[in-house]
Amino acid sequence: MSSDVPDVRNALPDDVRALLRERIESYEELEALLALERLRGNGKTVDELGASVHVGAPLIERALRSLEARSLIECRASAAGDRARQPEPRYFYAPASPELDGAVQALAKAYAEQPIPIIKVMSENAIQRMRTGAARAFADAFILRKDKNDG
Amino acid sequence: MAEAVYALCGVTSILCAILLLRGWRETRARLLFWASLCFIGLALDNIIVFIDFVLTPASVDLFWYRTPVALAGMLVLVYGLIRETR
Amino acid sequence: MRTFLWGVLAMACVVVAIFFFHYWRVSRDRLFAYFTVAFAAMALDWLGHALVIAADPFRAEVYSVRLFAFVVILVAIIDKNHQSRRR
Repeated sequence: MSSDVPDVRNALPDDVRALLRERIESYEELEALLALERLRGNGKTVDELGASVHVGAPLIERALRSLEARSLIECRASAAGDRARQPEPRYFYAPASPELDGAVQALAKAYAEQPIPIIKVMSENAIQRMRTGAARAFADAFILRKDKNDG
Repeated sequence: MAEAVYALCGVTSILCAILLLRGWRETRARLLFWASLCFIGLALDNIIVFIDFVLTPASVDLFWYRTPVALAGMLVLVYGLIRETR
Repeated sequence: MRTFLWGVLAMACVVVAIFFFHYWRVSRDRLFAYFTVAFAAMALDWLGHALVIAADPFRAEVYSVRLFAFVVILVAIIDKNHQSRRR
C-alpha cells in the first residue's frame, strides 16, 4: 500500500464507524477496549484498568459490562494461584468475530494517529442516540425477555 | 370467524399496551405511555365489536361506544408522536 | 357522521404510519417498517368501513384488512425477539 497522507476526516472506514455507532458509547468504553486490545491474551482486573485509563472503578465497571454485552471483551475468573481468597475476575479482549477484531484494530490505529475525528464521531453518535431515545425505547419495549445488559 | 378475528385483534392490542406500559415504567419515555393508551383504545374497540357480535342482539349497535374510544386512542398517539419530534 | 369519523380515524392512522416510516428510515429497525405497514393497513380498514355498504363490521371484506394489520404487528414482535436473541 502506498503511504498517502491519511485524510482521516472522511476516511474513517465503515467498519470503524459501525463499531463506534453500535458497540462503543462512551469515552470509558473506548479507552478500556483499546487498553485490553493492546494487551491481547493478558487480562486486567477492574482496578488495574481503572488505574491505567485514569477512570474511577464504578465507571469502568459499567463500561466493561457494556463491552462484554456487545461481544467485545469477556470476563474470566482468574486461576486461583497465589491468592487464598476469591480470585478476582479479569477482563480479556475477546471480539466475537475476525471482522470485529479487524474493526477494533483499525479503530486503535486511527485513534492513535488522529483521535479528534473519532471523538467527533462519538459525540455525533451520542447526540443521535439522545434524539432517537424515544423511538429506541418504543422498539425495545417489544422485547419480551430482557437481559440487563441489552443494547 | 369474525369474532375470532376481533378477539385476536383485541388480544394483540392488549399485549402491545402491556409491553409499552412496561417499557414506559423502565425508560420513562413519554411516547410509550401515549402509545399504550392508543393500543388500549384499539383493544377496547375490538373487544366491544366482539361483545356486539356475541352478546348483544342484532338490533343493538355499539358503534357510538367503540368508535370514540378508538378515535381517542389514535389521537393520543398522534399527539404523542408530534410532541416527541421536537 | 359515521363516515366522517371513519375518515378521521383513517387519517390518524396515516399520520401514525408516516411517523413510523420516518423512524424506520432513521433507525433502520425492522420493527418500524412492520408498524408502518400495520397502521397503513388500519387506515385502509377504516376506509373499508366507510366504503362498504352498511359498514357491517362482520363482513369479511371489512375485518380481513384489520386482521392483516394485527398479524403484521404480531410478526413484528416475533421478529424483534428473534433478532435480539441472535445478538
